[in-house]
Amino acid sequence: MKRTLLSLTLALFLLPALSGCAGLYANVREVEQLLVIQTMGLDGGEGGVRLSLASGAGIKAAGSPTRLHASAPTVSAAIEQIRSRANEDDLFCAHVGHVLIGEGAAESGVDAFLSYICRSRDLRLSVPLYLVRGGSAEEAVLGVGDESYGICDALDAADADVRLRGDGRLTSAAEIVSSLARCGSALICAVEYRPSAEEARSGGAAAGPVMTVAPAGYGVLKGDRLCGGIDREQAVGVGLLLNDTGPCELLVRDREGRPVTLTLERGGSELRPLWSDAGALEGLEISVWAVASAAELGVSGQGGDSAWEDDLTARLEAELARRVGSVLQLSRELGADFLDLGGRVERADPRRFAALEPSFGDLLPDLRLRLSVSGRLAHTGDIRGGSA
Amino acid sequence: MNGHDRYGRRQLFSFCAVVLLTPALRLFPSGAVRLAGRAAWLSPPAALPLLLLYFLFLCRLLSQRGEGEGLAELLARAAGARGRTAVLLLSALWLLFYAAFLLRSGADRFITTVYPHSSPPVFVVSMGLLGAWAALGSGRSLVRVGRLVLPLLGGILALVLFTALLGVKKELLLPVSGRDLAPLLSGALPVLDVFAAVLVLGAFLARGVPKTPGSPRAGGRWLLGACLGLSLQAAAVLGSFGAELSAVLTRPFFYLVRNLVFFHSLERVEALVVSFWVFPDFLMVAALLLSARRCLALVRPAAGGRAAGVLCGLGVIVCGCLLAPDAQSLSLLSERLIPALNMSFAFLLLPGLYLSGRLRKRL
Repeated sequence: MKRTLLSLTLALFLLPALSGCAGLYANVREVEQLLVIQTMGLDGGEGGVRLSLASGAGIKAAGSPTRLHASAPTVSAAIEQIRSRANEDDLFCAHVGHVLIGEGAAESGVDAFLSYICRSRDLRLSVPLYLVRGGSAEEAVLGVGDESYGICDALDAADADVRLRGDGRLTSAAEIVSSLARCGSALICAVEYRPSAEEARSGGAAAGPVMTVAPAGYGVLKGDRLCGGIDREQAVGVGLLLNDTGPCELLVRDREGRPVTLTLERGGSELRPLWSDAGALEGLEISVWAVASAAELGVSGQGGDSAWEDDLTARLEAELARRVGSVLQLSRELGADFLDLGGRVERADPRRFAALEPSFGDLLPDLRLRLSVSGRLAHTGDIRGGSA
Repeated sequence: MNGHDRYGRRQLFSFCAVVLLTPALRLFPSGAVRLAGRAAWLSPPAALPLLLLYFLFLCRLLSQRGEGEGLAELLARAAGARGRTAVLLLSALWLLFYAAFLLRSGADRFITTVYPHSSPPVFVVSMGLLGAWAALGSGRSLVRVGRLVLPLLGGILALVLFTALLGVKKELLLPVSGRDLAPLLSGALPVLDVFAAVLVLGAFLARGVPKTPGSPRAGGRWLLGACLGLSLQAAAVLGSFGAELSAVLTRPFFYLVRNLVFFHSLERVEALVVSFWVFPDFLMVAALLLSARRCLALVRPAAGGRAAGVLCGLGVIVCGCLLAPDAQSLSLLSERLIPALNMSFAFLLLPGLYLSGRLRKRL
């Protein structure tokens, strides 16, 4: 009886905690007052950081995105500065889904930003990072869209595009930190700030074009600084070398010089290290394979013509070899193993890799690369010729 | 011991599985990664042979007990008339200090993951009061609570691991070659520390288990399952963050939970998951207090009473509040002092007393 009474008393004391009354919790926040930030832009500024934030369609803002910016010595201080100015709204950064880094800031070094993300209690390590190629994060965050949509919507669309296609991939903060620690370099997904395809929705041409961001390949980080870039065309090569491909279009010319659009359906690569008898790594033999289909032939009725298909396959292989080769060449020129070739050599032969002298990163620029590409046309999609 | 304070062997194993989650997520896998690098996910299997040997030793030790006796009674007998007071007091002090540390460490987990602007005493006092209150009751209630919450915690853990393992990158886990053997063995140390704490606590609570001849196979299976669980947890963390990042994150498992998106719709559930870790904390603190009370009761029966239990609880709360005022001292405690004391108690004091007891025919 005594125990029951004690339990009931304790339960009664605990019941108010279930009511959600604000006074009971130190960190309670009313959802109606939250300004949910979904995109964060980071740039270097004079003596610190230029931070820009954007919300998606807010609860209170009835679909109009909010754009904020501030400069301060650190990211946290800039957030506090914005928080103090956003008087009626409570800044909520736990749902930041995209972080943009300006090209200038990336060239100066991203270590401070990565360190902030790793320590932040709000941001997730899985948040995708984007490099704004040729521009600043601030102009993208503040300038994309109009009254009805903003950077969050544009990046959501870019995300879906990158996820579905084979000429790009999202790079999370965790991946970049891990790759920098492991390989000394990393890829960062790049976007470019450019006019949108649609006309300005209001104000006509005088108001200027509506701006947007679109996927633009990758930036290459070495150490923590941006040291190079891979455009979207070459980015197919990255997907093949990382065995992470998706559908994307390749433009080649057939034997009559007509443009043909092929869709790369799947592909990948295998790597074989070439060791000398003394155990030194002399080179890498990389075999790339790809399966494509014809999306647009320029002329119909070629399906079933095996000579024509063989020729098209050879052109597909040559095109892929060019793109993969340019990515490998960039890796060698920069001395940056952003493709984790060292990891693949280690997985192929851990014992010899451990004995490598000097390290793989130092060997990379002088390694002999032997590249072979094997392509296959799955079907030509020709309505008269049938499938190949 | 009356019949109301009895529980089965399976219930005790379930209880141990729950309390294992407290030290496991504090020390593992970051502690093992610092020593074994990428191969840390294999450190639980690497520790398994030693763990099995230690488990057999504990079985051998506990086989010497009488009905209603546990590790505390065996320590008293093994130490003899002269040493028993010192050994029991030392054991009680260690158990109370460990309980205080767990309160402080649990508070830190809440602060770093969910309540960034809070202070440790709030969590230390509330959890300490709950633990002290529970420790005034019977061990049977505690063990049965462990049995009840195991499916809940196991389900959460399984869901988290399943979702995380789907996104694991094999290049962050492999290759593991012969040259990883030495680091792997050193990476087994944190695993031994984690299990030693739980197995010793289980041995203290064994006084509630009827003394029936049983095979140690059930314990072996439990150890195998627990090691597999730890391996999967480490593989999920390492395969998501890589060894370099995992080594510097304080509690990588909760970072992992923060990153997860369940069924493309549910995310940011780390607060919910962290809050479930209240159960293992509560059970372990209460069980440590209960075991310390038993040690004190053997020194002087009055010291095992409820008043002494309340005093022990208050002492643990005060100690928890004063312990490790900053992050640096907390990590020193968590990574150095507590593991050293725990391993010394489990692997030096207990075997030493057992041998001495056997030689002098006290056991």
